[in-house]
Amino acid sequence: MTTRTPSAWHSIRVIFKKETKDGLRDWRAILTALLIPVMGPLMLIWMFSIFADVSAEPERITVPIAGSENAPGLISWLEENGTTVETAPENPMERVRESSIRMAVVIPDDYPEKIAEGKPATIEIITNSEDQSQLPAVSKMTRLISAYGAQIGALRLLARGINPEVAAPIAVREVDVSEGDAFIAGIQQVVPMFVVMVAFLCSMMLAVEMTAGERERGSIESLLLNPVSRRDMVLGKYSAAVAFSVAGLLLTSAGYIAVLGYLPVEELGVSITFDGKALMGLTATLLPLAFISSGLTILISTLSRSLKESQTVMSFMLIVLAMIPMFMENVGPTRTWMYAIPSFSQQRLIIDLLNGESPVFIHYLLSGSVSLLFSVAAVWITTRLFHREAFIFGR
Amino acid sequence: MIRVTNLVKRFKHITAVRGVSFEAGDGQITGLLGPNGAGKTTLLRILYGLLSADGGAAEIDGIDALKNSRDAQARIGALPDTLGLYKRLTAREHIHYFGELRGMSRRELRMRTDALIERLDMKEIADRRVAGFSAGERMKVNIARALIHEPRNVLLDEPTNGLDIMSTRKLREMLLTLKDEGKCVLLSSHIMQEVSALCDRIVIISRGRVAAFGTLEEIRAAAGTDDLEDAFVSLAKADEEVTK
Repeated sequence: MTTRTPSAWHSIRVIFKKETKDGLRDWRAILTALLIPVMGPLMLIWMFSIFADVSAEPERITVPIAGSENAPGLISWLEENGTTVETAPENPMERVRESSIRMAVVIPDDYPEKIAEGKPATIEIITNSEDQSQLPAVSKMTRLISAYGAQIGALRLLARGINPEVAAPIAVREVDVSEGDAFIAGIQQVVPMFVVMVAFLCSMMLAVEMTAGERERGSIESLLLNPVSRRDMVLGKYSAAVAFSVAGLLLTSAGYIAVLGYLPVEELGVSITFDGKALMGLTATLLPLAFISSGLTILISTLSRSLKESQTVMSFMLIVLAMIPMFMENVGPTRTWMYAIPSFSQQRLIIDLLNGESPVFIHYLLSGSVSLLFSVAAVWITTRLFHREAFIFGR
Repeated sequence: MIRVTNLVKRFKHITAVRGVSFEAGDGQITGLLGPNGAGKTTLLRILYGLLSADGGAAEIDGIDALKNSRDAQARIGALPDTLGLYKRLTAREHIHYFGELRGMSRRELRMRTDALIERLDMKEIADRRVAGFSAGERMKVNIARALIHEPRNVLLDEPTNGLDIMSTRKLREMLLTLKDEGKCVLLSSHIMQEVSALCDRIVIISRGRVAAFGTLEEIRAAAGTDDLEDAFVSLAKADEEVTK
């Protein structure tokens, strides 16, 4: 016969173990905890590919060229440098105007003559600037032809015993930051919101099952027959929710760090590095987030009368959470006290990390301690609710 | 051994238990007999620590169940009103979970689980997840997890509800074995035949009061009729008149 009343620590561990095992077998909870955290990083790759497409020159372009027989040297130079040369149709200018071809290059018949005489030869690139999609191809063409011209010029100078560098007093390098900025702005909007969503969604799946679900299934009565205090029951369930939330956050952070590390973001003039300090900052941001999301989801699902009700309330809460940063933007620039607002503060801290700003201790302290305070309050209220007959037997 | 003295429980609008007193001894099966809504479930829930009482006393093996509900719970195994299971856990995992919650050691738990699985004839279903179990199979899981810690006192709230004849029979055999082992068995029922066939002592409850308490013979004598059903009806009626 066993008449023991086990220790609090033992009870919490047993309940934690059971709830995580149960959760790991729940394909909906698993799908949420595995799939949603990797969705964000995948979205980032997609976002990047869009920005990178716009900014980079195409690898290989196909260009109709009229009079290619006039300049075999140029043609072979172009072909060596990623251009596929086509024979241009009659009247290329008309064709481009009516958009039946998108660009064309015309090498005039006097080209060999001019080159031989050492006079400037004119090559026309016919484009329609309304067709934005051709801009990268046009700029590549322009660059290639100019480079070829510069080569000929350099050879001419050399033939006259002059260093070609004399004729190139200034070197211009164009760095376009707009794409990089747009990419960074995109990251700053999407990543923090997504991370907060992951924290809540991952704990929510478990929280709902463990409280509203336990009551709806009618298993709560049997569970409460065991000599375990209600506080320890809530703590066991709460820690299981935290574990799922932490797992989701780990997965999503690892995904983001990997994606940002492997994507050639430098091409956009962006540099995002995660050093040890940033990782510590990330942990200090996300751990309290896991605590508060688990606390709130467990409290809400305990308060709800049914599984359905708790899911309804929860989706409403998620929308509110996602909207807090938008609302805060209207309030004005971020001030220190704003780091006391849970969920907003975490999103703000992630943005600071992405910006590579050095961590401000008071921000972390404020964000972490307020979130922890909320978590403790949520667990305490949930424990009170577990004592209520109305919770056990429904209302 | 369970002793209830003058127990009172009020809900917002009604008083469900109005001064109930009785005793359920070891090595006996005691039946709480009463119509639906008589207060049987409320009474049992107070005994196994799910509800607080508004007056009176309840003792389990001499322990105050109202003040030290966790110590009392440690001496009780119960089949409550709702018997929901965790559909993603196996039968064995259910039994283990409750054994662990009662602080049993791994070795103790393994031996006891194997013994219960054997005794309840549930070897084939032991390692299957309980989703899709029949009512009888679910009942076995519930009984096994209620008895995992070998409780001295076994409380059952309408245990034969929804069971077929074979399962009901098995349950009765089980209860008789517990009685022979010297356990204190307290069960509630609204089925007269069940109570008269199984119970050593009967507590007739009507509208939150004890209408009669004693052996089958004593109750028959008190009501002046041989048939328990008639006895029940006349005693309950008499009680109603007193209440009015």
